Amino acid sequence: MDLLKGTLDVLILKTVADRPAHGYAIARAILEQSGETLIVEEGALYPALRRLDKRGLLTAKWGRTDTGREAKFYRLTAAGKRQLGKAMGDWDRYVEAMGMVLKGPQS
Amino acid sequence: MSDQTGRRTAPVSTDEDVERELRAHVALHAERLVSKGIEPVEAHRRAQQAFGNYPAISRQCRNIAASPTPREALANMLESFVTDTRFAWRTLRKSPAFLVTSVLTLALGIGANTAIFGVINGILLQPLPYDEPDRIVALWERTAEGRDNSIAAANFWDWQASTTLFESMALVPDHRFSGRTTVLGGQVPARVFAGAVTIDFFRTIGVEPFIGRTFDAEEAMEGVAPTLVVAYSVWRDLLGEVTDLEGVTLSMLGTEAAVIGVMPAGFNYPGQTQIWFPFELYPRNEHRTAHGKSAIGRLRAGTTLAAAAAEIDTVGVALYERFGEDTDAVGVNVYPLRQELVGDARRPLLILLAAAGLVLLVACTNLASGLLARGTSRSSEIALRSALGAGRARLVRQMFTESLLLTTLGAAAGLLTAQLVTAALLQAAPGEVWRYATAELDIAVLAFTALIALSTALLFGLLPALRLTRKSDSEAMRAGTRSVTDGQGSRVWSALVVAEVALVVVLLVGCGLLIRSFQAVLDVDSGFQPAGVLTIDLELPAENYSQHEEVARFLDTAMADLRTLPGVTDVGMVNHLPLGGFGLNGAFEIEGREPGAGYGDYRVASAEYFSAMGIPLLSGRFFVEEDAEGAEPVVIVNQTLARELFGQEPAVGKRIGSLANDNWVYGDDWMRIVGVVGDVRHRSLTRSSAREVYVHYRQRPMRARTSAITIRTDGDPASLIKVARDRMAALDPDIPAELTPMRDLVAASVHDRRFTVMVLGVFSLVGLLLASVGIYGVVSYAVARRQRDIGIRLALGAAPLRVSQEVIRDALTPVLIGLGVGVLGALALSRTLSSLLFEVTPTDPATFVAVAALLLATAVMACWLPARRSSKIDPIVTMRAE
Repeated sequence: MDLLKGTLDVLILKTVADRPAHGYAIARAILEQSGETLIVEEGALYPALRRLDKRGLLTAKWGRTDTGREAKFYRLTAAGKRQLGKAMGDWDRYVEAMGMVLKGPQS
Repeated sequence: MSDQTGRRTAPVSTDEDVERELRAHVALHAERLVSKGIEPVEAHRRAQQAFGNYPAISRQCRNIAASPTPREALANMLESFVTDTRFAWRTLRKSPAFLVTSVLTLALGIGANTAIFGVINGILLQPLPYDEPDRIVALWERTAEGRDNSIAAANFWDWQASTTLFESMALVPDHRFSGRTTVLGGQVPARVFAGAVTIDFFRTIGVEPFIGRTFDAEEAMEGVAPTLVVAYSVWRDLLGEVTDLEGVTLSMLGTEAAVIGVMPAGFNYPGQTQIWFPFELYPRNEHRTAHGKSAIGRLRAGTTLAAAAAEIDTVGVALYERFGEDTDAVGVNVYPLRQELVGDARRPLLILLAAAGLVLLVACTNLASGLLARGTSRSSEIALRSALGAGRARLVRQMFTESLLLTTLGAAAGLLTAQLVTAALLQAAPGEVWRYATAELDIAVLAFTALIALSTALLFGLLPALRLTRKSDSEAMRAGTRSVTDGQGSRVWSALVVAEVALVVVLLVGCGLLIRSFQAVLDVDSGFQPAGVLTIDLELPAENYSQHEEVARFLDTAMADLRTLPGVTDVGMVNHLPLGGFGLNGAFEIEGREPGAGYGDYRVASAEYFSAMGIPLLSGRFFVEEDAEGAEPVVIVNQTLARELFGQEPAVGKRIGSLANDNWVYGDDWMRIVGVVGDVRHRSLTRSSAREVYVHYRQRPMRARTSAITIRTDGDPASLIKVARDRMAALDPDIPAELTPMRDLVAASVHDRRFTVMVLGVFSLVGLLLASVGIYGVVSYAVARRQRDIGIRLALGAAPLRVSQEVIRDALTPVLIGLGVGVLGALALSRTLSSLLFEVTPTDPATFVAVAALLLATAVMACWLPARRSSKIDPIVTMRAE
């Protein structure tokens, strides 16, 4: 299933909220946690990571994976944390609103 | 890439960073596949295949990484702004003449606008310094003709009692008729404007005293000790700034009263009032035609002016229906207080603002042509820079920065100019309304200046910049300095000259019409000869001159004494000088006719008043010694009265008398007309004379306590001031006398008009000067550009005179078009001046012709120098220069 436009950013922020992660891990995490529903294309993921980094919502650092491979790890900044909180609130309202419309008036 | 511990060093470039990150992704994917049992080579292949369009993703990431963060973008912008500004400053400094001319031009334009706007801001825009001023209204009686009339107290009491939408209402003096009163008991005897106000006045206008208190209900009761509230100026000048008002008194109108409060500085409502005393102490006057008062009201919170106006008007209409002929108010007119205060001052102010705007436009036109000329002469530089890779946006921004820098400098210089102009304006300012204007800069004024500076830069800097960068590089490179007159270029020049000339014509026509009107006012036959007349304005304090006989005796002594001064030929007195804005009027009867046959002004005068003032006797005689107290009462009337009431019959010998609503002409005496004198413009130079009755002060001295002595001398009246003042002080030091040559009083009466003419005149001159500088610049530039052209023609034997004639002719074409456009514009706009014109029509041909002539002469002069230079061009030199 393709991602809804504009939702990738918040998914990324949420994924790295608890601990830093590299791009591949982020994509895997989203896939797994969505029950294999949300596939994140690299062509969307990496530009998004760069953009979030540019906007100061993420910060990146080179490091090593558990298996000793080098990778670029992303972590949430304070601004990113605020943005995530806001985006999650927006999302809840959005879902609620969509649900209300799609389910139609209750009889 | 690895250090000894196997740790990778951080990537050195963004590109490398992106590459490594994407490769890491593939590697991690492959690792996962291997862990699922796929052999490594196959895993790597699959991972690579699974990855999307690698070059595209890589490029996209690199672009994002290379783009500036918002903060960096801002920093970049600031940095390039600083660089641009620095560069612009360096470039401008290289042509100091252009820099100085432009900044001065803008300083004049922006300065004039800022100054006038500052004044308008203070007078028309800032809230009045009263509590919730929007709720305060001015009230007037409405006459049957719909005009405002001053109020009779009896009507006011009914308005007050029958309305509900006013929180409070107060009766105040109609300041147009207020005279000054002598006040004793202060540090010096003084004459001040004192006014009776009802005790609700201060509550209604919403101003708290600076020291002490204002009136309360007790002050209105009969038998209470009289009290006063004084203005700041009285407290400062007469009371020595005492902080404790306990026991402080002033004596006025024969009564000593306790000073209970001091109002804050600048508060003098209405008019120039300096002392307020309770109106309620006067005996009530029940006459509904006893006018002379004005009133203000404070609307209840939430009430609209329209609702309150409708309510009180209903009351006024009902009063008219009830009292009919006994009142001449058919209703009540209600105005916002601001309108009341600003009144007639509004239009001249707006006209001055418009004039300042025209000056700014002329200044901007100059700036635009200057920038254009500069740009054109820099066209090879521009072409070079754009050939070297500077984008058009970059060039436009650079040139725009230059004009922005110029206008900023101009605005700064303009603010300084504005300070000077404002100070000068306030110094010369007419009228009380100017009290509300200050020389202080406030946010609104600064914002206004910034706005006009920015729009100047945008409009007149951006356009030339866009135009100059439009040419394709190669074309400009080739044309270079050798540019021949290109058609489009000279069209822009011509358009600028047309605009400039048209603006100045409008300005000059406006100014010319006002000058002509002012001249017409000065040429009015006032009916008296002010030259050589010194006036001594005085009020004998009621404390010491309570009896009419005392007043008459003092005036007799003073006049006899002054008559002995050297050079003095006549000494007379009158209770109200011409042009003093004050007079009494009333109805009178004519013997043998119906009651109320006449209505007119009246004055108290002495025998020599007419000769001292140079008022001509038309028939009969002046007052004489024999017209003493007890002799047959006599009057002198003016020509208008004689003509209107007696027509062809001789007025002399007829008798009038019994003034209905004023007791100053006492009893039922008939008074015989003994003389007819010429009309005098008593109210103002621009208002024709009313009917006038003069009574003799010896027979009727009761309104002579306030009066003016007029002295005719065959020398300069100003030189008599000191000695005359000493004589007066020797007679009674407690009489504050004001000595002024009559010609100064005449000048003061046209002060407003002179002021508007002066300011507009200065603006017009500045506009004309700027325009001539502009025309000069454009023509010089055209000559410079055509130098080679002209050189060749001269070499081929063209007569130098012919060449310069041609230059002038070319230059004058846009001037003539501008003149035409300007005349049409002026014809359309001059109507707005109508209310300020006097005996001059808005389309006055003489003004238009004079303006056209002045402008053409200026334009020819502005063209002359460059044209002459053209004829001196040395063909050899210009050819070689190529």
